[in-house]
Amino acid sequence: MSESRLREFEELVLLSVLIAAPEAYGASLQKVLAEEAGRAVSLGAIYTALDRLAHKGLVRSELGDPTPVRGGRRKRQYELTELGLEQVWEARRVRERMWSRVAPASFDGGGR
Amino acid sequence: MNGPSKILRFLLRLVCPRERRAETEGDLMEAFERWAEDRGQVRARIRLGMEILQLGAWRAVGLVRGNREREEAPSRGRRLETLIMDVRYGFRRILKNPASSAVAILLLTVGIGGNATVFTAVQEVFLKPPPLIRAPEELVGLQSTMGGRLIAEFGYYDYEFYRDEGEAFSDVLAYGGFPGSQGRRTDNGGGEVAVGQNDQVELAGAWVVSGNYFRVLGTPMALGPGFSAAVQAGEPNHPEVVLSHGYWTRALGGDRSVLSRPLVLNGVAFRVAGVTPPEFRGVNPGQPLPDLFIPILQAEALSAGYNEQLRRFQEDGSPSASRFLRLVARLEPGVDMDQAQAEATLLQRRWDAEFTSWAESVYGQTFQVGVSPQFYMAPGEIRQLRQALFFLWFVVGAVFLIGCTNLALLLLAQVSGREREMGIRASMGAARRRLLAQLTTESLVLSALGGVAGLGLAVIGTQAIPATLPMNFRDGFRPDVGVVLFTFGLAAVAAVLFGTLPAWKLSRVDVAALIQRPGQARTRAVFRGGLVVGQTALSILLLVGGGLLGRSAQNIRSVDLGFDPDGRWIFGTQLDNRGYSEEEGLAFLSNALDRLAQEPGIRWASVCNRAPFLGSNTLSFTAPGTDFTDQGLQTGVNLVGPDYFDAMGINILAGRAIERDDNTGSPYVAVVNETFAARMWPGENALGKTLDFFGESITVVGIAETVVYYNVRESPRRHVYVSSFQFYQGMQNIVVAAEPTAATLVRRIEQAFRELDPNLALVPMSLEGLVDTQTSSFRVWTNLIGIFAAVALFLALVGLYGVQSYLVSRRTREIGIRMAVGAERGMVVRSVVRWGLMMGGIGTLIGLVAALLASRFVRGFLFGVSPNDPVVFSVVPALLMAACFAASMLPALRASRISPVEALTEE
Repeated sequence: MSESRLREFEELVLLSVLIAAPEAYGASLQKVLAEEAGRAVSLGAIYTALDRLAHKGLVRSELGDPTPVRGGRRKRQYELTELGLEQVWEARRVRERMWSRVAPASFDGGGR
Repeated sequence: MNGPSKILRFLLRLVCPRERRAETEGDLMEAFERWAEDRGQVRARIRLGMEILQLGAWRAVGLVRGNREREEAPSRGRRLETLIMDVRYGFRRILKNPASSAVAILLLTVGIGGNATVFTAVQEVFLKPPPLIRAPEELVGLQSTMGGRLIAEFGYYDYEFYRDEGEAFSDVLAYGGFPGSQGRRTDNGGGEVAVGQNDQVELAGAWVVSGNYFRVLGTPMALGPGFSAAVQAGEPNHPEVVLSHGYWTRALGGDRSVLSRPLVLNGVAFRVAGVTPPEFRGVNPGQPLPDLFIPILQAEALSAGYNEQLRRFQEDGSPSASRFLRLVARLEPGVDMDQAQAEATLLQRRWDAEFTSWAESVYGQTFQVGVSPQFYMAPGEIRQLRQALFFLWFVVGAVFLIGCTNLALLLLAQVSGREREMGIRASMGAARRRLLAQLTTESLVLSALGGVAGLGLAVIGTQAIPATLPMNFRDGFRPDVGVVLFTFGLAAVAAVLFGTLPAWKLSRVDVAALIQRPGQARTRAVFRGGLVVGQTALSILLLVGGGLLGRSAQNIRSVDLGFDPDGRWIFGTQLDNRGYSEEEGLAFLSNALDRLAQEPGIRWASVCNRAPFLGSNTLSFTAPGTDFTDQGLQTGVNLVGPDYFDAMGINILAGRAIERDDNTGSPYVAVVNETFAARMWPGENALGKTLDFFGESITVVGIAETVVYYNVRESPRRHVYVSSFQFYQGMQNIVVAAEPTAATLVRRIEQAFRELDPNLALVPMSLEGLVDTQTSSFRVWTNLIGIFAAVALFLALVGLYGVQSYLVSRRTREIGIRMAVGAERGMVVRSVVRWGLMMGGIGTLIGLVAALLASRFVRGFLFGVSPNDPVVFSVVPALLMAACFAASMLPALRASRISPVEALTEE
């Protein structure tokens, strides 16, 4: 399995981690994905993606301190590693480069 | 969020590794609050459940996918992962060994299916109240006890008394057969009320119920409003009827317009007040549901004089002696069983104060009244059912145990083949616990498959089981969620029972020894021996039970009924249905007998009030100059016509039979049976003696042979016959003894009766059929136990054979050496067979002792055979030992053919 390229969902999760920072953990990521990407994603899917990203070395996590909200249960806070930042940035560059080559006329035909 | 529910928490624990649990829970709680705010509590809860399930699914997918990448390193928090692996491995093993797996699953299917079937019946009969009854915990049944004997039925007077006077009872309902025969219908579909007009008359089975019956039960109608207020209040002259759903669909095609047109019952138009829901089974699920529910005080319309008879008081002011109603009371809120019992006792005292002398003169004793929370059945019925069901449970339980034992043996035999596999796994670092878990999972997979198949078997079995029970559960049973849970619980137990021992042994492999000399790890024969002994003992138990029942069935078939059922027919009829007065009824009977006498092919024709096996009249007689001058002697009574004894084939031992001239104009006469005569007038000649019966003096003119009256298993009963033409009853049975060649007899007799009265309904029954019904439950039982005993024996032999074959294969090397140093073949054979016979012998001894102890529990099922019957107790062990010998002989012969050279070169 090639591990170099980001899958689309992984990319969204990485972006969500950036958006939610410094409070990036399961439930907040789910909220961001719902609000910003319009995706109803189950926590199971998010955890799986985060595990995979951690395995690839793109995110790291640490357990936060217990807080009185959510019954005093700790949060696992995620942040991007250097490699993760690099990859998500790379993904953005690829997209922007390609968007810049799209002729405006053909875009109009796509309809909105 | 008030925290996830327990179930969700449990699920979460299952799908979430421990080190991640707290944070996951926190995320879920936070998300839950958000969902609850957006969409409300209910949806949020559903979403939460879905989330947890998806967590599990994602985890499973991730693990399965991840397996290929990661090193196999079972650790805490990876339980799900290893479980999935083990399950997959279990399935692979099943596919790899299709033959032995099929045998294993079959064993489990039979064992689990049998138990699930019996469990369904036990649950339906004892644990669940009948369906569609509101607040069944408030209902109690009333029963009376007379001299230690329980009588579930009451008279109508009693009903009104308890309903109106009982302060602890918010209401009391009554139900009973119309008229007085428990709603019983013969197998050929006959019944008691004629529905329709002219040539389109059909019979339907009817109950009379109190007007408040459905109200007290809280049962809604599927169609129609139910009984009107007037009927519920007990006002007469409101002919209404409620139809059972079955009858409505069967006889009326489910036509909804029945509500708007009258239904003609016995020539009288009845308004259809409603149709019961299809699931409604009445109060007593052990009785067949009737076609028609007729309000008790409206039955007057069907049978003139009915209400008067219900409430009839004797000349001395006593109520009618006819007890045919069962009573169910609904307790006032807050009243407990003790208070209800106290109330019943209090009422009973008041009743006694009025009627003690009456009860003593009619029954010879007074009553005690009790309440029972098991309102739906009489205690005697419950006792019989319990006995039958627990016996069944014992049988299927034994087969289940034998099956599990066999599986253990089967798996043990595979141990040697898998020692190497386990050794390799262990040497790669698999912990013992890990190996045990894997092996247990394999058993669980097997037993889960067995459980699924067993459930299928139970669905079939539960349809067949009513035939084995003493009462009439015509609809069969349906397994429900509880049964499914039970089945899989049992499957898990099976997995433990048959999986633990082999798993234990396998997981204990000595790695070093194995790698040096594969196939030599030690598994001791003692365990196998123990299993073989256990199996043999259980098979002996079942075989003894089967043998005793088989002998009972044989005895029942050859029981001397005292009459000859061959070629004899009974035509049941209810003259009250036609509104005949006593004179008209007697005239009709007289005409009918004359008409039948002309019919060719009929040897004898007569009439009687009670047909054999179909209910009884029990009354008490006094006789001057005997021990029973003041207190009466209870006896069965039948009203019979001329030629009755010839028509039934019953011998008259002295004096004469009832004759045509014994009619209203002549002195009252009676024929008594031998048993009655011997009790009433011991050592004297009964002929010419007189009996007192409700103030009438009756002369004994004949003594008849004692025959079977109600039940082929009864001990000799006292019986008195009086003349149909002196004591009239509306219920009459025409008895006909036909020539053997009279093929069209039934049709011709029906034709003859139609000429006499086209609107009279007849129920033809062959006497042979009635006898057959009596013995059928025995046949079913014998067959059932016989099948199970045969399965058990077969399993035990397969088990023994398997063990012997396995031991021989393990001893190949040893046998080879022995033979190389000069042992004879005979010696080898002997040593193998000796072991088999020894195990079989020990098992047989244990089984025999257990059977001797257990057989007294089956005494109630036996007939004419002692629970310690020497024939059964000698034939069964002999049979089993012979079978053990055969099962040992084949492997022994194979052992003796071992070539020393091959054996020694074998690894």
